[in-house]
Amino acid sequence: MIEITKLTKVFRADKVETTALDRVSFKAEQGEFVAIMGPSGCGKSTLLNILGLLDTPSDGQYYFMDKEVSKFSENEMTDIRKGNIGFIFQSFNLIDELNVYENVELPLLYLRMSSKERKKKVNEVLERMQISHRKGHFPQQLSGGQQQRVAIARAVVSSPKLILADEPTGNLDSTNGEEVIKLLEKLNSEGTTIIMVTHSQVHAEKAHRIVHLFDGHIVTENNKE
Amino acid sequence: MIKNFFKIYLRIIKRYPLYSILNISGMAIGMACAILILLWVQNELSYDRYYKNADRLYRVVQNFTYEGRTQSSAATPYPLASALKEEFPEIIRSTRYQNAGATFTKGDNIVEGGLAFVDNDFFEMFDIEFVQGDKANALDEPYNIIITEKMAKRYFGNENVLGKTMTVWPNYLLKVSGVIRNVPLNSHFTIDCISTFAFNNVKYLGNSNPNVFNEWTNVFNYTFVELLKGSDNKLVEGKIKDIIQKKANGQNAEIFLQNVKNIHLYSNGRYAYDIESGNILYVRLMSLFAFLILTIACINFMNLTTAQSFRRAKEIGVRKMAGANRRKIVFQFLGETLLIVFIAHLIAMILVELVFPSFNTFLFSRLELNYKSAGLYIVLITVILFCGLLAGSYPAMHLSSLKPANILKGIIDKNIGNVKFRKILVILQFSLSFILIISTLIIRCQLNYMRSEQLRPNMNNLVHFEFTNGIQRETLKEALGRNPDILSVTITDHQNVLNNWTSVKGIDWKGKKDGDDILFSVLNTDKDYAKTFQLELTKGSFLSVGEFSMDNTDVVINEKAAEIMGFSDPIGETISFNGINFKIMGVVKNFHFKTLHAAIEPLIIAPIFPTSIGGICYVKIKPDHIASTLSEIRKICKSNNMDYTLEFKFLDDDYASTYWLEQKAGILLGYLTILAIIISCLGLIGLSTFMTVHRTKEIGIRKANGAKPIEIISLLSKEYIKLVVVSFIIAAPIAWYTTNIWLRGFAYRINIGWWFYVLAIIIVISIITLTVGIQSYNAARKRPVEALRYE
Repeated sequence: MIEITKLTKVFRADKVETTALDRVSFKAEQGEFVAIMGPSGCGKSTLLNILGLLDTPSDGQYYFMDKEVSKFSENEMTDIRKGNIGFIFQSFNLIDELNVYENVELPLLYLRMSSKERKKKVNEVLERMQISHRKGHFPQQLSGGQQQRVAIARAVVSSPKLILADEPTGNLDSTNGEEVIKLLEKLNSEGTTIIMVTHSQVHAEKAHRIVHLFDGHIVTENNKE
Repeated sequence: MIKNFFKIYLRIIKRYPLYSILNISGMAIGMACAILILLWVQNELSYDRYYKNADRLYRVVQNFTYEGRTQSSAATPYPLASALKEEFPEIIRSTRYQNAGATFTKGDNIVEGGLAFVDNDFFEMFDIEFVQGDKANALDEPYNIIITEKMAKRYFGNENVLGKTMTVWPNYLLKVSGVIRNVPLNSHFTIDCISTFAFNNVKYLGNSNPNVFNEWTNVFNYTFVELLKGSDNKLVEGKIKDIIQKKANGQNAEIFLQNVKNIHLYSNGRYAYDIESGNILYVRLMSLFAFLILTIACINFMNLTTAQSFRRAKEIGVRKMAGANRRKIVFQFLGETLLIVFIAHLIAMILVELVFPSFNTFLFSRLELNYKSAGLYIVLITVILFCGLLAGSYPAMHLSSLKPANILKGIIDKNIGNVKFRKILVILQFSLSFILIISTLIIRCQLNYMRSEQLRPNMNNLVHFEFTNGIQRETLKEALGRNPDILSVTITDHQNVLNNWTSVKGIDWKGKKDGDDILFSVLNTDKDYAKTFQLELTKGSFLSVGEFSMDNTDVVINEKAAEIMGFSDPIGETISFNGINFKIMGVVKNFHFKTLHAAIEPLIIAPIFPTSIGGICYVKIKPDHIASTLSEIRKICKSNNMDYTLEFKFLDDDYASTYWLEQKAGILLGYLTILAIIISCLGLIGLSTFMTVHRTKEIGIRKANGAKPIEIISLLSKEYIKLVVVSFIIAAPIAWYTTNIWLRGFAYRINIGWWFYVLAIIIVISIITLTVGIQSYNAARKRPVEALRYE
């Protein structure tokens, strides 16, 4: 489903150059659940951002569903992202001025779905995430676990083929973290490809395969099956 | 403590230079405008207040009513002034006043100066101070002249001038019998020289009728009176009405005493000679504009300051924890604002100094930037306090209300009231901008309309000059007519075509209603007037001869006069005046012979009386040969014994000068609007920078969820468009109402069409697109990861 070859990302700040990713190659098949692990600053989030088409690589190729996208423009990247990729962040990234329902509805708005259909989908997914009773609330009125469930609901509402999760349990206590991982497993069992960055060995164990990043390089890939 | 406040503020300026520059420069521009305007307003309001008896000095004004419409005129009968003083104990002093153009010559040089004619009481009434000569008998001889120190210097140099002779063009010799202090600039009298009415009679009426001063139907000069302390105005007005009615064949104009302090601002060009007077409407308008611009600048300030408040929040939290109460915080921020306003005012004064000379030239004003005058400091202190308190109050109240616990937890950005208030401020700013833009558009349009050709006689390439002797009118016309570059020539009596027309009452016609007392304008001219001014005849024919004689009593009237007289066919009808019967032989289409402020008045065009000497010669010249033809005209005149300096004037210049106030106001309004827009833009840039930064995270999230740049731009701009729509709804009726009031001052005016409003919206939206749109575009183009990276 996705394949990157010799992908490099260099950040320039003032006169300092930092190589976040150094000729990384990586592949994920449809329906896989991949965990990415590594210490802080090893390039995990950078890799995830590029995979999610939120950022562009400095060098190398990136095939998303057999299309070379590494040189795409902002508009073209948006078109790919829309409906294909869902994001879950450590800090939830909900819009404070929108309530639960409106936050979840956001990706559907940009897909230009009819309001009737949007309503149906949002309610469905809120039901599934067991958060419908809170749909009129604003993010700051929710607990961390609830906020992350809203974020997941938003990530899956458009039924994307790929979900990218950047430390989705990082800001949660263990009970809530556990629940989030269960939700991701369930989504994966229904056919969604999931790539998750995590610090937790326990949560990483739930994935099919763990990729270890260190200093911009992939050091090991252990296939569990 | 105060030192600590200043230190923090100076560090903030250093740390956020863009914010500080926007804040201070917006304020400084606004203040500079306001200071200039207020200085001008202060000067306008100070006119004629300095006479020691100003409260009891009045000008006599007559109001004529015809079919419910009132026509005012400050011109009063010649004998009125002396009769009033003689007959009424309430009137302790009185004087006639007339101001005429005169040209002084010294050898071959022309010395410019105005010539006024007054009676003796004038000096006492209007505090005229004699430096040389005796005010009691300075006007005893007909050929005496009193001059100001300035005129003495201009004409004679620095000599002791008493008893010396001055030449009034063409060749009158006047003896200097007094030198007076210069009349203050804020007097409505612009006086360089003063002479006697006896000389006036000689110069302008050719001394044709020595009894002219006893004629109650001759209405040329103004009458000023000084009332006894405690007199009742209304009673005196009634008495004056009675005496005029008795002496001047039953004329029954209402009389009203206009206080001298009101002449400058409340005469509004309705009376002759007041063409360059002020207008209270513009004083009010300009004051309003000063207020609006300052308000816009203050709104900017409030917006920027509260938008930045999150940067100061931590400081406030810490201060509160350290024991500052709310009042201390309020004072800190008010003090800070006053400091900024003070810095801004220093910059503003530099700007004022820079533009002051051009401002003066532009307005023909003679304002002085006098650092020793209290007036300047009153203006400055007013402006500083207004801005400091208005701009500082809200930020101070808002910032001091923040709760330390919330601040330290970091939850202050969600202060909804703050956002709402900022929206209200932006709406206010946009509304003011709309009002300014719409009014400026409408005013400009009206001015263009007045300049348009359709309403006035054709004045292109029409040169005129006055002559008093040396040649017969017909001879001159014939001589000039031989030049192939001259298209036509006409001569009128000594009347300016745009103002100063002779007005007469007591005209009779068949079927005239009792009680109708109508002022007719009279134009004495020759048969070529219609051709030169391209007048259109609707009935009959134009004058056929140049001079009046008992065999030739033909006159032409305009449509308005025909309408008033009520003749179905005026041709051949008779009108009588002063016992002479005139026959109407033609009707001309109405044309504007006065300013567009007034409706077209009834007009009688009659031949020139043979007793008057010289006149004003109007010459229509071929467009490309003006300069050469002017020197030709000079030659022709010289060879016809007119060996004096001719002063050529172009009629379109004269015409433009009758609207100078409107023209200047229009241009000034344009500048003010542009400045107001610039100030608003500074605020918008600051505000939208802040808003975009504030919403970076939201933009990132939206983009990660599939929003395209264009959708982000529209998201960010939508807010502003909403505000624009609300502002427009507020501003449109206000602009409509205010401009209508202004337009009502013109008898002939444009219709306010919808396109003015559309244009205003287009202008405002373009401005927003430029200021807000570019920033939104930049924000929208950023990769979402940049927005989400730093949290």
